[in-house]
Amino acid sequence: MKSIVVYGGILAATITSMLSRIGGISGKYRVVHVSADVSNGATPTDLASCAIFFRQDPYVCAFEDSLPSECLRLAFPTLDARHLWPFHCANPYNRPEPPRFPAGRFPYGNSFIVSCLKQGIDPAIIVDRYISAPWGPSWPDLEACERSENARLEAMDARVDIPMLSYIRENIHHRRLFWAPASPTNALLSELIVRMLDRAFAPAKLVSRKVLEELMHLQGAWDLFGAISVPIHPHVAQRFGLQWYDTSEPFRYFDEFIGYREYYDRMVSENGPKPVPSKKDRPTFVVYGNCQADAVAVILRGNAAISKLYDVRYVKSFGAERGRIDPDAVTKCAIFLEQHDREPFEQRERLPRSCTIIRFPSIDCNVLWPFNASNPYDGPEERYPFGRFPYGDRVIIAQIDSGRSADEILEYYLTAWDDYKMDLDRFLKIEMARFEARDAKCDVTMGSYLYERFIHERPLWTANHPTLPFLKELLRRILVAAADRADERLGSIDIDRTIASNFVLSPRGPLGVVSVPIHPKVAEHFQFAWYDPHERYQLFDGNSYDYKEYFEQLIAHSLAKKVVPVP
Amino acid sequence: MKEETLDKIRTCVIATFHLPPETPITRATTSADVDGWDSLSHAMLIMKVEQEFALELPFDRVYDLANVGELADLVQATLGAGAQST
Repeated sequence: MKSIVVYGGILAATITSMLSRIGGISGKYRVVHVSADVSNGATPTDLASCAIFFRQDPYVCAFEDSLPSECLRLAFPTLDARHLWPFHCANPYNRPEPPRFPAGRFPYGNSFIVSCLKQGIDPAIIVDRYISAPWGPSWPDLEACERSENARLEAMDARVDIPMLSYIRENIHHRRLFWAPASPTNALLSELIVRMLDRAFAPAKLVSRKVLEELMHLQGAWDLFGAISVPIHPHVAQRFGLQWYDTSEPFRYFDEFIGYREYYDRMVSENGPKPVPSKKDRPTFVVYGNCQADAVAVILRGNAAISKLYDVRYVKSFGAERGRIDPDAVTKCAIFLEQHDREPFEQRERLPRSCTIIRFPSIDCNVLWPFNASNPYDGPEERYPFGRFPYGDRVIIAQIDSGRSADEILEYYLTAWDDYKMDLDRFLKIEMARFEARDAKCDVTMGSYLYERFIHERPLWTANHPTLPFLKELLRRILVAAADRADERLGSIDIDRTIASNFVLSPRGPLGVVSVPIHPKVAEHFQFAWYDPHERYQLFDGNSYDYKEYFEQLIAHSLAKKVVPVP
Repeated sequence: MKEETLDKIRTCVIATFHLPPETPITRATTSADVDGWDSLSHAMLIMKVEQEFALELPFDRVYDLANVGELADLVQATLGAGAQST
């Protein structure tokens, strides 16, 4: 199959994507984008079989000479209209904030606003000045801007095979052609693509502009380059006679539409001169606790906005590394997130006076596994640092202690519920009392949230490993408390998005590696809506087992360890 | 009566935590002194004590106990309140 190679920047990439969706092309050609910035996209075969080579001007392609001699080479222009945004400049305050703002919140800078911020002018009056001040002699000379832009576009038109300047000149007054500098509307983009195809395939007419625009709308509800529409200054709109211009129109700003004034208010307030301190200078946000606290710290650290503000640290509350943290990180601590634990943080006294301490609970719900117990017949192994079956079962342990065989123990466990059952309603009441007592000692509470939901939504994979929705709720509550008590900027953190992007490949969340079966009688008693008797449970060995197989494995493993005691 | 209560609770603690019968459990014994005395096993102990004394302990107190002695006092108080109400 012959290929069509489109060489250039993001405009070229978008054109590639559209070409590959056009019926007359997709079945006959492989359409490939080759980025001018990084070497990727085309294989030697694509280049050797290249029938049409589109190059975005002004990019220069180093391999163009090595394309087959019969290959049709066509240059197309970059679509830009700089004179409509005469204040356009690089934004020194903009920082990438993936995943929501990979190019930052304000990738298009405004030289007036940047200059005011640099001079330390009160942010409250910057936007007023920008909007209301008369167009003074120190402001951009619009005639000069237009002359220079015309000269640039004419020079580009002369270099390319698919000129667009006359179309832009004829249409720019009565219809919107750009959302921002170098961001064409679908209308303009489709005109360019139609012209490219007309030129490449003449006299055949592969697609009309109308069909192409419809195709583009199928790619997204909004224009392909319309993620942000940068407001045009009213004076500029008037000077260039933009008949479609309306200051009261809502401007697209990522997922929302905002007003003209709000766009600049946000630019000033959110993207002002806040130099990003180095990690060394950032205050610490310390999270102390068990594996759930570790997961909380991982997610907080995964949020770019939080990481910009704080150096997030996790400190273990258990094991040999309990309380281990660099002393400097303690003295620089601005927020100390302390999981309610009977082993308090030993260096608490060294936290600065200004540090805000927020106590939060573990997420657990013992009624799900009323027989859960530390397994004495388990221990760390080379492949399994936490052991193979760290979650034991009191009923099974007692049976193992009594000297019964594996078959007898399994039979007893599966069939003798009446012999070892417990009063689950009473246990639930005691468990609720525990939640209440714990919540009373915490700044963030989870007891009633758990109690109201555990029947309908699965809260945990194991006795101490919550599912992602419950962990997310804990994080949400922690950030609300932190914004309220320590740093209001934390109130606008979109933790859902951070979690969604961090756990695309592991939807069970950071603590969902293994799961422990729920006793069917417990599930039946509480009528868990999420319970599936045929569920398979995953172990550290990566295999999954059904309910009976899980206990066969647990019993066999524990009996083996009983014979060869855990060191 | 108080000593008898403490003896029964001692038996409950030894049974719940599978301790050797000779383990010294006194009024001053706390959860930190006993291996495996966590939130879940505390609930098991409370249920065992309730079964042993045929009573229901007040929920708002069962997670507010500093040691075995306070548990014994709570049992005594609950037994006393039950006796008064009858």
